[in-house]
Amino acid sequence: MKTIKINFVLNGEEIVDEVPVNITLLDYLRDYLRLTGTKEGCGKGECGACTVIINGRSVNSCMVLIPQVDGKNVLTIEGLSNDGVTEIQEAFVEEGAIQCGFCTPGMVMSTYYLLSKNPHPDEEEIREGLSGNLCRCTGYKKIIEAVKRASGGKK
Amino acid sequence: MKIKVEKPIKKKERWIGKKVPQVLSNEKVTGKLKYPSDIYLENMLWGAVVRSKYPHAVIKKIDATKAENFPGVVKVLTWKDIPGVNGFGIVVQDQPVLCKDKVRYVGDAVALIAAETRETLSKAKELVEVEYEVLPPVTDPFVAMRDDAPKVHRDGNIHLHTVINKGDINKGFGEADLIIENEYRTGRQEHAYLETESGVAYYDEDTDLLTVWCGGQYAFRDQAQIARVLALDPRKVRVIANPLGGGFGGKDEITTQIHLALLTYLTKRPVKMVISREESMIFSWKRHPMILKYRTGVKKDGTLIANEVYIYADTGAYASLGGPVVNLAVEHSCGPYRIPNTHIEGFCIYTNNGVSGAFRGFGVNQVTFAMESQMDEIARKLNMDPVELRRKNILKRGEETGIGSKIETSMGLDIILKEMENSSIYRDRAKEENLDKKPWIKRGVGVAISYQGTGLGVGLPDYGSAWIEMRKDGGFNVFAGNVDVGQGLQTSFKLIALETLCLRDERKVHIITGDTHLTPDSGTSTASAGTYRGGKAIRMAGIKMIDLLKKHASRMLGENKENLEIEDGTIFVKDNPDRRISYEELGEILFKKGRLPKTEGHFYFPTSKTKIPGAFGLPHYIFSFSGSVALVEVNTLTGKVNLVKAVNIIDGGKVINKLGFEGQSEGGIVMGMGYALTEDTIIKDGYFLTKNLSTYIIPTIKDAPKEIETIPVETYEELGPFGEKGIGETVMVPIAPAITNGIFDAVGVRIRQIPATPERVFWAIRKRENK
Amino acid sequence: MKEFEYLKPRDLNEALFFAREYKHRKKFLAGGTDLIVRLKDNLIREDYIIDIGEIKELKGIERKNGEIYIGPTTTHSEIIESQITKKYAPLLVEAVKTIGSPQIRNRGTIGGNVCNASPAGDSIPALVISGARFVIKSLDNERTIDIKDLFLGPGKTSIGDDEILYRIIIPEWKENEIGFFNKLGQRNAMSISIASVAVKLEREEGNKFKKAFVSFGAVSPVVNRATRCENLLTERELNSKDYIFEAASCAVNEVNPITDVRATREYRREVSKYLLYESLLNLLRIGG
Repeated sequence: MKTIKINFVLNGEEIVDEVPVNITLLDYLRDYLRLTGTKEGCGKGECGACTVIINGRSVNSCMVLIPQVDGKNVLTIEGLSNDGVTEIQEAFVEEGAIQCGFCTPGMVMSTYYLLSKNPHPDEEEIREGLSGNLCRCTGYKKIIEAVKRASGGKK
Repeated sequence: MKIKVEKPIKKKERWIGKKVPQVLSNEKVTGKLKYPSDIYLENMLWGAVVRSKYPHAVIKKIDATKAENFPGVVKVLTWKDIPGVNGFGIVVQDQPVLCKDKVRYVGDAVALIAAETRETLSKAKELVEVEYEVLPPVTDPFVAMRDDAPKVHRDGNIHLHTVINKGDINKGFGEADLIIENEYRTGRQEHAYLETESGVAYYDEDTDLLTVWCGGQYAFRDQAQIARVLALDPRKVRVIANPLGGGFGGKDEITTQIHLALLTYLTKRPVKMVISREESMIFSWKRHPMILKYRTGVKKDGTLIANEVYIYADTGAYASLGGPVVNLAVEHSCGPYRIPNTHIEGFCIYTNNGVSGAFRGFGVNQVTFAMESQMDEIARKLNMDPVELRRKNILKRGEETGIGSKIETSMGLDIILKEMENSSIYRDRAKEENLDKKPWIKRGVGVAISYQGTGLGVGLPDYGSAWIEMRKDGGFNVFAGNVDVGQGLQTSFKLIALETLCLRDERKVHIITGDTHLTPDSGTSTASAGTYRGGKAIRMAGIKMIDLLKKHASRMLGENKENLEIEDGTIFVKDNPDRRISYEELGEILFKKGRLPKTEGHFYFPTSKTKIPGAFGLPHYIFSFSGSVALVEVNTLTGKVNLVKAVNIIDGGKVINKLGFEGQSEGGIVMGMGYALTEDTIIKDGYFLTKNLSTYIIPTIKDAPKEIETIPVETYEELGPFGEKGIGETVMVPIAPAITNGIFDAVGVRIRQIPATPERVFWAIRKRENK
Repeated sequence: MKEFEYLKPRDLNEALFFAREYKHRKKFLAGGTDLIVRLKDNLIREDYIIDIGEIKELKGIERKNGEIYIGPTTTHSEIIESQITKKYAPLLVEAVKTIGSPQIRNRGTIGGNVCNASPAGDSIPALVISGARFVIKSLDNERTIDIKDLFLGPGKTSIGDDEILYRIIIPEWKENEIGFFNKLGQRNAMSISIASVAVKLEREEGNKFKKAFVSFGAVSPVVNRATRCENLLTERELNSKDYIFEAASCAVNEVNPITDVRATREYRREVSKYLLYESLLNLLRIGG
């Protein structure tokens, strides 16, 4: 089994490790680091449940090979929740935008990315921004309302 | 048997119907909540299933030697290794845990592998050598019904055939002024829950307890099924069934539980299994695709007089819940309407097309699509307003349904129709239609109504159970076996407990659900009745608890029980409220005495006193009702349809959990929209062509309508906790025919096969243009 | 996932060296949104994965001499956000906006979209009607080809085993040009095209156009210019709906679709014409 040395920043902390070259960032987070907040919904980049932020960009971590993470800055749902719950997360809870909760970490990360680039999106921009995250339970309505609330827009 | 009824509460409710944060939402939003797929254990093995290569074949030989000897593989199991019964299934245990003689679909399990790493598993799977004798697959349900068709099961391909007759169908048609006859087809919908089937299992030698932690909809039945296969005393098997990332009926049947239990039991090590999305889409249950033939007779004033229905359901390789699905379809096939003459036949047919089973709506989706399309066509042909036509025919309480049974419980149909008419979409439909921004984009409005029998039906064991224990801090632990699949059940339980126990502080109630060793068996989280079962039992236990607390308080305060009142967690004397004792104080005192109270609530789900002969489980007793209005937009050039706005009018009795209720309705609209417009599992010759989420199309946020309005109709169901009845299924049913009726309104084209993909709508429009 | 040797060249030169060294035994990794799926599906035979995603010489968007130069490992998001492409390659931006999802667009690259040569690659029709050219380098050679010489068939380009796509060059959008990209998918996001069309018209005067560029996506093994449609679109003034429909109807002879899990060939053929018709109506602001 071919391995590779990797060195990157995860949720503000440096990670140095030697891992098989043919695993994804998602595998590494969950199976190696036991950071299970990032979920696997499809493994093919088709559902967004595994969304994390790499160097300020939202990505499907199941579509990132671990060597590609070397030297990068990665933020997961755990890192976002480190200092307590963010406004985005509070809004999701208040608006009832969470049912089974499995899509939620990915939705929150995509929302975080959206608002980092566009702090006051209109509804169309919200839909565009979350278009890579599937939800089977909520019908998306309360998720949109949560994002509006978090961005200080109208409820 | 006396059925406990509730009288409406006179004083204002503090918790029922309020908007509260859902239980565990903080844990979910931070990623802290552990789902079964998130569990990692010391010394853990990874498990995988080797599945059939063919949709229909005889197994000649299974040779696992190469796989067993592959480095990293710890165990390979075949049918020979099963200690007990090699079979599972909710109704009939006809599905092999591991196939011995025959495989009947490409998801059939043939072997199990446990290995040290996940990577080892994929290689080892290829090394299990199975010799097959390929058989011709049965893929067409009509062909399957013929005597000369290859047999999927020894006793033939018709698993169930239900026939119901009411009145005189021929006389009925004779009296009809208009007869509408059509064939409808519905798609093979996939649950597509975000969390695939996954779990862990471990065996503790000290306590001789096998624990299986796997998302499912009924922990106690899983426990029984596991025990049967492993030949164990069920009490030696613990099943923890929540949390889970979505169920929708797809996790009602056994998924990975038995496989996990076998691997753990026979390796004596913890085992984890996470089914990939592709494997999940192939092996798991789907909504029954149905072919429905309807012949409806009506008088020229719109009175329905006759309905002849033939339902052909493709149940795939094994029985699962195919029988109950077809029977529920039969029960609801005539809609919530008064029809004096009916002839209904339902066929549940085996094929080698995957497996079909429970899915939110459970047969009602399909027949409602057909019947509500019939109603729309009738309204058009008679030049009647579609709401008016329905109003003319809807059942009143106590009247006979299409199968001859009477609905004696709460019904909100008339209010639903009023709300439908008054909805902005319906009122403004002429205006909406003229808002065409581009002339080739046409808008239309469609309506539909539905109803849903809740609970398992008559003759089936169905019940609710709950325990309430007081804690020494004056709070309460509430236990009910029902699983929270994400629908908000735990929150509803909490609200019911808080209200019944007269509490102000929501932190004083802690809910525990879905664990065979911590909670009482309170039935399933299916049939729209999870909240009802546990909720009613909790209410019963809560009322007893209040009484007990009053008894204790009366002794401590030296007052008669009748003079005591409770408010905000404090018991006080009515005419002298300074004489009081709080739950906290009471709890401490009782704890010291070793007498902290525990109460229980148990009941049997109310069922009909009469049975429909020849139709197991029918009729149902408590019904939820729904109506949808859809504003659709059709691109006449491409055939693409968008749902622009939707109104969902839901009679679920009293709304307990406001956010949960709305969330279910909104989610139901979008799931129903997917069913109507885009979702279909495509199987060719028994092989799956749709194996991932880029070929099986569920709605994204950009597909969801711009507006969804949910209107609750709170008819009071006296048999339900605080007047509640379940809504989990009916919320997704009428939107599908409302959409296809809307398509007709927009472009004059009747879509009788769903999903109404752009291609289907396109050809229908072109055909109409060419006429 | 299949085992492989992972190599990360420090610069373009080293990448070209590896290209020559490993030839057909290697696959280039840029974003990975396609390659990683294939690796998981066991569809990759090659043993060497060469990561070119960070090589500076392959990145960037520049405007030079009336043309736009795009590095192949530029992500779709970068193309959408760049002021240069927004202004001077607007049709490419419109097309790329429809690819995948925000997460996919943050990783997927235009070079990847081109080199994978999927008949349904959404950037391709836009590149075709833009008259894109491709600079291809090897260790001791550099050549530039037109897009019509790039695609050989589904999944195949004329880029050699020892070569790397170095630049995509598109002429700047002109003042008198109007364009439209129309994609039909099974849903409104994260959708692989059933059929798509890219149109560019160079205006002479009013609704008379001197040049027309039309290209259909997902309906042919190789994306081409629909020259018959183009001729009709420049022959006469585009004032009548009927004439526009006639011009669009040429589409049925310009496409060669297949039947797959998403759609039948008959639908793809017919709907191509309607997609073009709709695009033209939108472009010319004419009611249907």
